[in-house]
Amino acid sequence: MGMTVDLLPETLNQVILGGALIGLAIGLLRILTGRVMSASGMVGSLLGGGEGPAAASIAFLAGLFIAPSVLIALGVVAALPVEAGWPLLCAGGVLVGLGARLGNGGVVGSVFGLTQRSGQAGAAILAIIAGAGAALVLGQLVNIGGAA
Amino acid sequence: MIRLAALLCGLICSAGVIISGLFQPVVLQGLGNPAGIGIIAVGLLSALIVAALVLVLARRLSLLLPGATNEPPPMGPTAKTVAGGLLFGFGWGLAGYFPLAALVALGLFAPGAVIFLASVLGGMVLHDLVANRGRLGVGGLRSRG
Repeated sequence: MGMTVDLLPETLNQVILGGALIGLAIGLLRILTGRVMSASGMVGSLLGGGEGPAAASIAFLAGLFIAPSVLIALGVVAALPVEAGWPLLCAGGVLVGLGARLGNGGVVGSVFGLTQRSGQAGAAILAIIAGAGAALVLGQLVNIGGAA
Repeated sequence: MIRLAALLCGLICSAGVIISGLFQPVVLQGLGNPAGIGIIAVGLLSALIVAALVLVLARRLSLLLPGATNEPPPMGPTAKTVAGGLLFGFGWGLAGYFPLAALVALGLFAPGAVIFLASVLGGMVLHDLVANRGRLGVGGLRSRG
């Protein structure tokens, strides 16, 4: 009775259900631990300095990591992502890290910010989408064959 | 208890990312057509609505922990926010991953996710070195979370 999650979301229902689960996690994390869900912030906290990584952040990251194995064990088959080549992964990763530190958060942190009616979070999401769109256009123009 | 709750939230979030398909780098190609933009927007909107509902419900029922009641005041956009967002988005477009997606892909043992996440950490170190003139990790410059 395995359900296959295809490469691209086949139905809008899957996207809505998946998005709802992400939203549920954002809300629950805030209520139960008092923390803002921000993957880049939590990854960044592993670098040390300041307060260092909180135990809750490490537990959250551990949950992210083991969930795919749990889902596969439950019969939900997740396809391996088709990845870009390592030069693009490296260049993109460095830019994402720079941007996350400069803009103080990424996609998921901005979704939480929107629930607090933060204009900053709204601007951040629009800028992120614009940046991704620009990379996509550039990728098509020079045909670098990246993921985008 | 808090760690267990955080672990559970990680599991739920990861399941959401996998079921929605948003961790797949090819989803980004959707930005090239209206239907694809719709899929990304619907995913984010769905997350936003449920998160807002959960938080409003918790506030009504006074379920928020003491530490969580100090909501950050809504802030207006700054040049740093926009510049950071553009860099973040451009990097996402190049690599096909954003940090949450890469963390989930790591759980599927996707080799590129390791390269991407290591590069993200490298970018953060680079930012701190430039912003702090050679010193790492000043508290005020840390990302949220």
